[in-house]
Amino acid sequence: MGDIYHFHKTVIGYNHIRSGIRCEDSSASGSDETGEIHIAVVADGHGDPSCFRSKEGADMAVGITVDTLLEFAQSFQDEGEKGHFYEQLSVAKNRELMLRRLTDTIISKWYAGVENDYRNHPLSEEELKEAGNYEDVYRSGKKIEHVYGTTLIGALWMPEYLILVQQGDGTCQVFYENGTAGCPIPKDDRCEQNITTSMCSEDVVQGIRSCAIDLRKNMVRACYLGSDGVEDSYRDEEGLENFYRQLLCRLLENGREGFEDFLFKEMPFLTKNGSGDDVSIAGIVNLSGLSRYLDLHQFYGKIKLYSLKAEYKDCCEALISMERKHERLLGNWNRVKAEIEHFDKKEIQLNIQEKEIYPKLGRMIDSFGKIERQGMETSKKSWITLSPKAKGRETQEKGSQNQKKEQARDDIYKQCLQVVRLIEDRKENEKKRNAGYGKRENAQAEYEEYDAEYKKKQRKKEELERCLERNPAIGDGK
Amino acid sequence: MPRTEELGGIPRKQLNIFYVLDTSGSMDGVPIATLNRTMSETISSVKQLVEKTADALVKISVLLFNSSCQWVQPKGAERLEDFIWEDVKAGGMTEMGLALKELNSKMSRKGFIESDIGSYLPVIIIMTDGRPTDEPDEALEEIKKNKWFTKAVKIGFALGPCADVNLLEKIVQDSEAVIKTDSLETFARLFKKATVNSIVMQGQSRTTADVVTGKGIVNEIMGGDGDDPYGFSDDDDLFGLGDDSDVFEFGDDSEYGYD
Repeated sequence: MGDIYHFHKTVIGYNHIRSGIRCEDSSASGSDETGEIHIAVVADGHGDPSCFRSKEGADMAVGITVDTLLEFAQSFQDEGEKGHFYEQLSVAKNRELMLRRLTDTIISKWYAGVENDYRNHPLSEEELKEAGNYEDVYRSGKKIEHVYGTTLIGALWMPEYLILVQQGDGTCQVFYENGTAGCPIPKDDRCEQNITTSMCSEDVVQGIRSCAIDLRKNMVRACYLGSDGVEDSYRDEEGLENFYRQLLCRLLENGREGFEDFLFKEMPFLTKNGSGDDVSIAGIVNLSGLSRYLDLHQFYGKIKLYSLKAEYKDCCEALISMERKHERLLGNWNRVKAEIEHFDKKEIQLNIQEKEIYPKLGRMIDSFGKIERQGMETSKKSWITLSPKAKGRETQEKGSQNQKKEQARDDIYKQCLQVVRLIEDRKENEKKRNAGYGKRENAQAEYEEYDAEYKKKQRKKEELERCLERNPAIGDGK
Repeated sequence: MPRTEELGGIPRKQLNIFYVLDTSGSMDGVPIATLNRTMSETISSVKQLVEKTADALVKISVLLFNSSCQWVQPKGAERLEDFIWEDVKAGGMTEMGLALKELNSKMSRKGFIESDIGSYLPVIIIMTDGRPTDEPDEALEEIKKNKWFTKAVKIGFALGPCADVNLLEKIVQDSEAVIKTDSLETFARLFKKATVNSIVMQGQSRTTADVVTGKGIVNEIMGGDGDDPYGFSDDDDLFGLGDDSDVFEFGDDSEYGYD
């Protein structure tokens, strides 16, 4: 049968930690005493707040599925039965019936488990407050299974058959001995994005999917089960397949301990940088002759190709996303710079004005003083001693002096107003220019920071382009 | 051995939000100013929300329609952190059919929806204050064949008494997913809330029986939590708001262009 290794690990989602929500995933794996039967199961409790006991539902689904799969396999362990069992499984109609019985058992046990838990732990007021639209429904004792809503994927590895069951989303990825890979459990089109069918769905009996792989005809190297937290971390199925293939390489390179260490380190990384959701992975792997099966060089080539393509796509997307803001930030910086230039020019103009305005005012004041002094000299003359003709001339001169004085005073007043306006203009210009400096600094900093990021992406894209062009095989997929 | 992140990166799950906004002539004045302010505030609120809680990579696409239609970001959806709202002006007709046709062309993986498996159902928020000046029926029938559009969470905003509520109901495929309001302030509040709630509610895994819908979000934001956060005691209040002095009433002032 070979050296069969099973594992499972569940890690709380990064966003669950941030939001203070407990882990709602569950997983398990194990082998029987004979070492011939191996089981792996994962379940993902729904994050919908009205499914507030989904963790319990997931744990129950995992426990029940492990037990049921084990019973299913053990019931045929007698030598006499075993042959009959495999014979039955090889006939499509019988296989369908057997798998139906198996899934029906899992479902009925899960519902019984839910009923039991609900009876022993009635819903508290605090829990009911979380139920939203379901509050009244739950209070009337209806749809209680919804409180425990979960998905489920299970694998039973026997010497001659691999049995798989699934309800809801998540992925079961199988790698065959012939080098091919696939997801053998039929897809349910209703499971997409964040929507999933569930163990609590009304049509769970019809909706649960299963399949059996005859290992005598199509030997399986590895079978992985992953909650949607894993697949949602990758942009496409190829990325997901690469991730699972990588697990095989880890096993080959580092052995079981190294592999488990890898899972321990990498799964938190996966959820933090990927889906943010709880992440569960379980698997059963045939380690015998793994080095013959895996051509590490070829595999790393594949990874390199995929990662280059994916990174290139990411870069292109990021640049498209950044382009408009990049342009606008540059535009904003240029606008602020133009504003400051305008204020600088105005400052020069004001300086020129200032150079003219004060001497002119000085001259005006001097001229006014001269007129004043002339007037005073005229006044000193004795009015009585003057002849009537002279008196007439004197009166005319005084009138003219007064007029000149008025004019000069008026000119000084106007010039003073210009000085005041100049001072105000200068103050205003300085204020605006200083504000402009602040704005320019901010706009420059904002632009330069964004520009550095933008240019980094551009350089990366060019680098990837060159890399993809160098390798025609890689270039094809650009 | 490459690390996990070297296996083609680990992109976050995407949530695409499409805004389809009427910027026709009837929006001129206070309505377009309110829309500009609302969009700016909405983007800012969503940025804060996403920073704190959301697990999605939110991507924004905005389609403006009047006598023609144009994407604010014609090259593709922009990540929330890159998105900036620039004030738009109102003018022209209300070519809704044209807008639906354009939306249809971009609601695909060849268009603005990039991620294959790691994405939430898109959200479409469509707003108009008038009746279409073209014939939108054909475009509507066409877009209904679009899988992304059909499954998207769709919310309509009928702004002012002249908005074609009937058409909006047909577009969002649910009469209860259309918010009708004559008040610009109410519009501003609910518009923001609709976006925020769409992100929060989309971010939870749900069973096929509990799919998030536009109707569900509208119910939620219309004070379903019992706190009556918007000050509406009932539906009539929403359309009247006569006692609330801080809201604008269409029809009361010709400045808003709805008389």
